Amino acid sequence: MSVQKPKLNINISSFDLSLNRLGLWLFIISDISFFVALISSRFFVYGVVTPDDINQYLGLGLTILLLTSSLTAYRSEIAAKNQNFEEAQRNLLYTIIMGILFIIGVGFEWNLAFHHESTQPSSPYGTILFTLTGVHAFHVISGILIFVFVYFNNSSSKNNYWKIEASAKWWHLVDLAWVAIYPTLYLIN
Amino acid sequence: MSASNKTQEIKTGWIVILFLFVLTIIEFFVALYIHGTLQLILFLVIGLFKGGLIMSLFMHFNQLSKNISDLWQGIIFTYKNEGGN
Repeated sequence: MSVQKPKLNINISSFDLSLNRLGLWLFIISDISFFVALISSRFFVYGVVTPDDINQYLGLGLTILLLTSSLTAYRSEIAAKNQNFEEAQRNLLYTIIMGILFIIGVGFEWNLAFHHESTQPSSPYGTILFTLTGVHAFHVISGILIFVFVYFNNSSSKNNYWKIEASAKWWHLVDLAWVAIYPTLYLIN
Repeated sequence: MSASNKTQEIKTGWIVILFLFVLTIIEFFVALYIHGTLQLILFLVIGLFKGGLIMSLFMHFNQLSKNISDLWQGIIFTYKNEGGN
């Protein structure tokens, strides 16, 4: 005699989404701990002094750019949530463009840092600068690649909302890390 | 989701970004005009506030408790269906 199992009285699709979100949050929290360790190394290696050669205006410009890109990522997520995939795509594109501009800005920063003795990679401050901005830039590049993937694999399906939400969350993590990196590298003196 | 909810969420996004911009400018001027321990304290407070705004309003951190509760419900229901007490 076969025994029929009672069906689960939960919405599997919503349950899957919850598990996906939980998994992503665990990953984000583990990544935050990595940034915390790197940022704390700045104070351990170089104290609370910042060399004069650091370009303050470039740092401010990069911060404004990344914060703005976070707004477009958020708007993309909201649009996808409301099934407006055209607007979501448009905001994804804006975020990708601002992400690329940010990477160009970091490249410019690195070029400047190479030409000053106090910020060269072999100097104590240069080591921190290149490590922190390098790890962060790697996250930005991975975020851009994820957005490009989502942009070209877009379909007006419910599943697509999760793709946009996840990539936007990843982008906000990049933004969150920069919020801590900016005063740590540029401002503290 | 209703249109008013969407409008509210977009409005929230603009308010958050405005706060983030203002706080960043404040940080910039703190670096120029305030030095010593007070500067460090201000950076810490402003940074925590900015991080809190991003995590709660952009990343929807408050969803996390629901996700954890869903996970536990899933474990409990599965356990009961597999013949557990």
